Amino acid sequence: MPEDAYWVRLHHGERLLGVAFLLTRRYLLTAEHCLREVSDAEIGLLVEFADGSMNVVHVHERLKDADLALLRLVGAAPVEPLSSDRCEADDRWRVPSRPSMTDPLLRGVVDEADVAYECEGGDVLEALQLRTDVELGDYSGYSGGPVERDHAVKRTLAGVLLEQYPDRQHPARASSTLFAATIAEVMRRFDCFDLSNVAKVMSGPARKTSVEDVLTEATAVLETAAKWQAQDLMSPAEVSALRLRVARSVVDQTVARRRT
Amino acid sequence: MTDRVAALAEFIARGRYGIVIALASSLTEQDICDGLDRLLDYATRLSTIGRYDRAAQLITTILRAVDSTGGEAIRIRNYQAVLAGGVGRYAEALAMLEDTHIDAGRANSPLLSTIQANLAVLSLLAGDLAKAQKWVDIARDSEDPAATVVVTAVGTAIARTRSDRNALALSTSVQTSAVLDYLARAGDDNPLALAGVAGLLATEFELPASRRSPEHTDAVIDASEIAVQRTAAILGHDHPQAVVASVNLALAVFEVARDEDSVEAMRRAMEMVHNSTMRASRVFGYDHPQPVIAHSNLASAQFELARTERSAQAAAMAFGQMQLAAEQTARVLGADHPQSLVALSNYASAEFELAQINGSRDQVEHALESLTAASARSAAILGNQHPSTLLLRHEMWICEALIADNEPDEPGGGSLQTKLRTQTKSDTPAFGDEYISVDDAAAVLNDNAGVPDEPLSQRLGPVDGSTVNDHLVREGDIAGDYLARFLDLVDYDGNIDLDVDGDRAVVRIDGGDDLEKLIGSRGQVLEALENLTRLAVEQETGVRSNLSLDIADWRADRRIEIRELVMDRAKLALDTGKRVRLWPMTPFEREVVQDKLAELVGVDSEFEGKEPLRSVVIFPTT
Repeated sequence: MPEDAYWVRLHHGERLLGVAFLLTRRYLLTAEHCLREVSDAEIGLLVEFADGSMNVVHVHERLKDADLALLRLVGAAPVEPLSSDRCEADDRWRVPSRPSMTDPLLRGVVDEADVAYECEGGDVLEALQLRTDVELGDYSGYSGGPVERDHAVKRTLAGVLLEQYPDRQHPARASSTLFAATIAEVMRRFDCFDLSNVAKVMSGPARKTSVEDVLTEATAVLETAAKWQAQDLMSPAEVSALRLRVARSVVDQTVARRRT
Repeated sequence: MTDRVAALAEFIARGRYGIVIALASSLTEQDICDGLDRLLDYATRLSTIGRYDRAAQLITTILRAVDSTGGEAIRIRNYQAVLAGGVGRYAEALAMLEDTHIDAGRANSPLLSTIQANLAVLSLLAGDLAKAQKWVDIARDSEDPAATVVVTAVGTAIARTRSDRNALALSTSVQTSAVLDYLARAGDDNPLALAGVAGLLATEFELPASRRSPEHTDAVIDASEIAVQRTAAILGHDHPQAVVASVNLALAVFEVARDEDSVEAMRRAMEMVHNSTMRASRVFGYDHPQPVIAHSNLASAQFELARTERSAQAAAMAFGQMQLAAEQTARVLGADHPQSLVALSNYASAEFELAQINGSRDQVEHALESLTAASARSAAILGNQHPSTLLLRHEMWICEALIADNEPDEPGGGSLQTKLRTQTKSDTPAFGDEYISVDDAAAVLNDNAGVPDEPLSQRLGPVDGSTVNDHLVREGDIAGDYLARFLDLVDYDGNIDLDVDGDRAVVRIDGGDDLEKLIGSRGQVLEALENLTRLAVEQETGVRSNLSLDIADWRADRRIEIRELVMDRAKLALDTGKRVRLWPMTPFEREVVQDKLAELVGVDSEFEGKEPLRSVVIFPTT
């Protein structure tokens, strides 16, 4: 898999809204402001992967105050997400996505790996304070993109690019400082990533709904066994033993279902 | 921080470990008391950078300065054992901690439960299930929530290794309660809570019940993915917990892909397994038990992928890796460790499978030796009735039967594979004496469904000239059936002729009045039909087909025409010294051009343009 394959372009009809990226094979993350013109119930959102394939996504949860939005793919992504990580100060970073092929790739150095940053929406986030190598002035087309920790031998996912730091003295001029919410912060913000919710899957698989289902499946097993016996693949004794076990299982499961 | 502790920190930073140890021995009791946590942190850092011996020396030095049976010493000794366990020195860590446990009991130390939980984990990691169970039983009633999380996880792991279904169901339930309770107290960012949830999900994935519902399996994989990403985001990508969780996730994804019998999904998952294994090697070091086990799993997965791809070459390579893994696990973990047994059993089973495919008596005899060794060890470690032992014995039995039937004095000994097929499926070792649910019985039958109709040689693909030919004949048969159904459907007459030419199956249709319509302009319909037939074959065999289809000898005639054309144009290029472009051609036509040009001297060619306007340009080489 090419390393850049995990980020996508987000489309709303003909319009390109911005960039999102895979956190898991089901969930994509972006900046909430990229979805400003999209309603929660919007069904026309599409994501375009690097190989040109398109997938439908739903808005799973949006956190306006924190400028974060989580999208859920219909089905699983065709590629793997990049592994998460946490940054240290002075690490190198890069953003693999860019508004267009003619725009430069953003990269630079992590000034602070864990700052409390009050974003435009009012929430205070655990954020990375990033210094860019190249000063562009306006970085708006980049927001929502993944921030990678750029090691010598590997790349890992460290944050989501949100805002640029306004130049207080010259508001018209952008500074070379950007902010990204850490992935750890993102994990804390969305309910579906709470460990207690994650652990709910432990409740077990869906049980069969009726005794008829049990009988149908048992019959299928016995029919297969009979077929195999006819083909000399199972001996009569083995088939008899299997029949006994199936019968015992049917009784057990029937009793269990009646109890519940 | 005292000056001496500060100096020690500086020498650690500069990598002057000899001076560090010398300086550590000059630390006063006051230095150590004041800077104990910092010193232990230095020890951890030393161990992390592969200097465990130096870390152990530092801790020993620290211990000399404190009361050896006091509370602080117990804490440091527990820490020392954890550090040794962290670098895979399980036996050493166990020995240290068992002594510490005695002193902790005497001193009524608040760390007693923690030490017992660590003893349970270390015993499990060392492969001593009985001892691990003993510590689980001792620590079962601990009131320390963290210790309870650890102990219940060990209990589940023991039940899983022993394949004890009832114990597994019970311990999983207890473990779930312990983890959720701890999670509520410690919060989502706590490392033990993260490890607890990741462990629960790994167990859930392996529970037989969870494997029956694809939706539930998907949900468990999704949840595991979230747990892995959260762990890496909180603790860091290279944290041991994050690495182990990613290895488990990759193997789970691979198992799902394998169960779906999807080659493409298996290949993608294999990339995950490979990457996570390499990551484990990088983080833990190549001789640490964790990556050694991960490499063993990687080799087995490679073999399974090779089997699904029907690639004999890949299977042989994976088999070599499995042999290395079996040796490596035995060396690092000890021959009687359950993980070494897994590696040995997998190796023996793979050898058995390859021997079946190749039909070589020598190989079968050698496989029998391996299976006998693995079976004996499995019986000793896991018991006579453990499913792994039963399976190995079943394979041994088949090997023995094969050898007996293949005696030289028995005429027609080439029936090895036919007999094998019958014998394999006539036995049901998985049913054994244990209770089996309907679902499990169905799963077993479904797993084997269809296999009896397929010769075993095709499970792994061609391994020599004769089986290559068998495979191509089978391709031709499938293609013939498909095309016959197609002709019926369009109501065209035609005779189908099947042949093998070199390394490809050849199918010819002729004799019908309407066949021209199946050729189309410049053979385009024929080309499309050939592609469809290849897909139909691939769907049936799982192997990419390169069969050739001809209708009413159109291609045979066309081949003659094109070869003549190439001769003519090549001569023109040589005479004039200029590049000569042919008209846009189909892939078949271009292949014929290339074949002909390969026979000629002094000319070469290249392609220009894109489909459907792609053409060949011939030019002189001088």
